[in-house]
Amino acid sequence: MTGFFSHYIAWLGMTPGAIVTTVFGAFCVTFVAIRCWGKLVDDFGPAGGMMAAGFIIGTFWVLNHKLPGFGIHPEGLPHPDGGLKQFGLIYQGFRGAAPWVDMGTAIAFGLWVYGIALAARRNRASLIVESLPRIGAAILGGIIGGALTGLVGWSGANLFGY
Amino acid sequence: MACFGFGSSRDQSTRAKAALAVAKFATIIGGAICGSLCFGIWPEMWKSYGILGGWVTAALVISICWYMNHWNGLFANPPGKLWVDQGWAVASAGVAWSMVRFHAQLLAALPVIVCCLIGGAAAGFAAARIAQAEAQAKSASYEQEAR
Repeated sequence: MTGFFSHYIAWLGMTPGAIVTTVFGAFCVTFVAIRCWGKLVDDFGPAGGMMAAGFIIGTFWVLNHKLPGFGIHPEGLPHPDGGLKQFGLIYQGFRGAAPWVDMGTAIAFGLWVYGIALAARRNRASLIVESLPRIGAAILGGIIGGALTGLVGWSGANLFGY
Repeated sequence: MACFGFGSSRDQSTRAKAALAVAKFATIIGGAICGSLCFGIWPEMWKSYGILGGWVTAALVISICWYMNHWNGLFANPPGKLWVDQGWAVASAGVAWSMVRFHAQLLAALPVIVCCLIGGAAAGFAAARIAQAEAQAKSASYEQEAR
């Protein structure tokens, strides 16, 4: 069983264990965000939403996105088989080789699906069509902000090894 | 003036179109700021302060971004429509940031993105089903009280 879950599938770039943990981590954070974020805002107003940022995103960042060693060993802890050990549930390819996949992907898509599932069946298609340009604007904004932030690496800046 | 196409009805529709365009422009700005903050600050905080640095970054960055984008309404989210979350911006910013900074290959992340979408969609369906069941139970208990 351990052998199956830790078997690296080369064309996928993942192990079956990583697939299971990624789906589970994405499910957990999305479910908690859908159930609790709006409720916290109802109960505490804007302060509730800012609390939710720490308590939901911060706590699930530890579950989903922590990597080993940083803060103590800034270079990371090498795995005997090469690469870095992964402790976060959402799998990341070896650093630099694969783009960062954030749990925001799961939360945003989950909230969108939640809205579709709660809508009346006949309204669903028009709601989806209406939302696509807004989603595109959000994604375009993220690409602009992320790409411009990534440009700092081109200055040769080197903080903690990369 | 109406016969020349300068009537108030056309004026209103152009104004509405302009307002929609500005709302999308605001979404782009909010997404850019949120994505830049997440990937400019998060890795350095986690490398400096470890797990606590990551938690604190969520409390600092996501809280003010949520306040600006969703409470203050910078993201275009008209009432009664599907929710567009700043998570879309964070997701695309993470991919763009690592592609520019580390020359990462987009296709290498595709399986993980698909896994994230599956998990998120499953949570969305489950939460919607639970919310429907709760609403039904509530209305049933109200009917019982009314009797």
